[in-house]
Amino acid sequence: MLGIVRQKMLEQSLKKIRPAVSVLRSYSSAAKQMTVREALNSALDEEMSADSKVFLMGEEVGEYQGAYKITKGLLDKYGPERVLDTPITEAGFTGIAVGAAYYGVKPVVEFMTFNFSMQAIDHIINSAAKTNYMSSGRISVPIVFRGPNGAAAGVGAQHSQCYAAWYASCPGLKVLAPYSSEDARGLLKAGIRDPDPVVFLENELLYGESFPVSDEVLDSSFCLPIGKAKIERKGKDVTIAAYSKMVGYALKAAETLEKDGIDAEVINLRSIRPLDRSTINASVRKTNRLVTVEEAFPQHGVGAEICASIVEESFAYLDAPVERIAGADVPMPYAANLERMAVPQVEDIVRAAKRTCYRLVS
Amino acid sequence: MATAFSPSKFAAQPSPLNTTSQNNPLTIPTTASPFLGSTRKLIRLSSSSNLNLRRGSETVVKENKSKSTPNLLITKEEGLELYEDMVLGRAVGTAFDKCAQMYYDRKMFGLVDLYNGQEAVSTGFIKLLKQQDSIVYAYPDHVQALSKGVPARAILSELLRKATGCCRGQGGSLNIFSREHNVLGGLDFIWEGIPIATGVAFRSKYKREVLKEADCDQVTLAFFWHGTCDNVQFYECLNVAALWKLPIVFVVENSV
Repeated sequence: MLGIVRQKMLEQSLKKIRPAVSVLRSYSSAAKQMTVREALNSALDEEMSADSKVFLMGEEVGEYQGAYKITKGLLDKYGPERVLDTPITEAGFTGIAVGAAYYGVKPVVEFMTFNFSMQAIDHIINSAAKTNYMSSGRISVPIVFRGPNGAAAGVGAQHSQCYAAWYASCPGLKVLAPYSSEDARGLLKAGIRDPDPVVFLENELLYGESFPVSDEVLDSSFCLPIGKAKIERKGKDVTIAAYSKMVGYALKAAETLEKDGIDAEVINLRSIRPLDRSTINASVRKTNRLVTVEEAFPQHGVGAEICASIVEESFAYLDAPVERIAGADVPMPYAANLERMAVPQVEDIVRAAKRTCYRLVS
Repeated sequence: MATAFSPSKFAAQPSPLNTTSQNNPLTIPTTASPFLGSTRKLIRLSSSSNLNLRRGSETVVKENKSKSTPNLLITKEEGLELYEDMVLGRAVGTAFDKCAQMYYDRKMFGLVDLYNGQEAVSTGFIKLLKQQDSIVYAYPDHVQALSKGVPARAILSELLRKATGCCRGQGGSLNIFSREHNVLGGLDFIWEGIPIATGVAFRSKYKREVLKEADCDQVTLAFFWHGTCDNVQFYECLNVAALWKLPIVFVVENSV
């Protein structure tokens, strides 16, 4: 009886706080819509304008205006000395960018997809990530590696892998995964300004999606902190932690769950390394249930790391085992129906959340 | 035959690299400070170690003195400076040898490769460079770092995992970095240094053309073994260096 009264009081106070919280979350009432593509383009433009040491390098970034048009217009504005079209030599041009970064210029290297970064992974890990440590802090590498990551639509096994877990396991790197336009702008700007190597994992299917952005986001000095997750939707029954495109799926799942009386809290990780363990743990201590969602292969993934973190720090608060939703443990199939089965869908997240709440799953 | 000798102090005459004249033999630009890492009294080495100048360079010095070709002529002082540098490299290598002994006695761990017999290559190139020029190389790496000016003490300390090492023991014999002397490793992946060096050369060009520092004339040297020429990154960087006209020299060492 007392518990119900307390809960009702909590709900009422939450209702009072919630509008204020949502205002804080979106900074102000959203006036403008911006696609992720525009967000990235404007972030690059502003950072190149502010600092002449920033330059772009990659395949098709110049004349072609970018394989996905992210770098549209930048060649005309900044010239071929700062927007460099490279030959198809990932290992070569990544190493060149890293070598230049050793001496303080700030390259932004584009991989046409992160699958091609595997050609250059020696330079990302051995030349970029480890150098600051090996040189005992004397040489820093202010480089950004960016490009689309994860599954696209019907591109097959060799063009659909998610590399978040691979890069996030390496000390010396920072790994960011934006979801919305606000994330894209703020995190890319933060990454370019950061003195350490940053792996910036975009998503091809999000490029064309529009999100509301406030005036603060549009300001050229806007920047998001690296290592801080965002609570996209506050809830009290179950925590759903996701990154990149899966945040959108998690939000849709939360709407479906709400109709069934489950109030889900959705966390947008934003930063895979450093992982915002404190936000995730605080949320789980509140809701006592956790579902992690990722598109990547399940083994040794981001979800596994989050689960380990919860077990280490908040085990006593768990009321149910952690549910881990990930892509299927197969190379991505080509056929559209198989592809759909290999990637998490909204229904999978809903089912997992219901399992943690010990509800009957239809 | 090895004898100890005190190196003559070479009076620094900084001059641009591209001046050649009939009257002046090729001078080696050095900074005003004396050669870092040189010892006043070199270690008296045993007769078993082979310290003869490579036959090639001996021939060059002799021949040029007789033919008086101005571009390749070096003075006695320069010759001594180069010789001292090579001897130092060999001496540190001998110390490394002792370290290899320690390796077997479990006092030191990791990899120890030696550069004995190849010192002339690195000395010949690096002694032409200025402080702000950069070098990148594969492994072994201690001789190049020495020639560039990293103190021998710092290198040996690094090998022995001491905090006084050039990378505080965090890099090891495989990875010798020195920001001050523009030495960028020591990278055990033999092809890894080639794109890095190309990138450093790119940065010189960027500084000149975009950041408008017109006096920037830094060059970069990439040292690697001939086996690396099979690697794709070598060709990628040759292509890009030619395409973008980068100030880089690729030094292929025959390590047979």
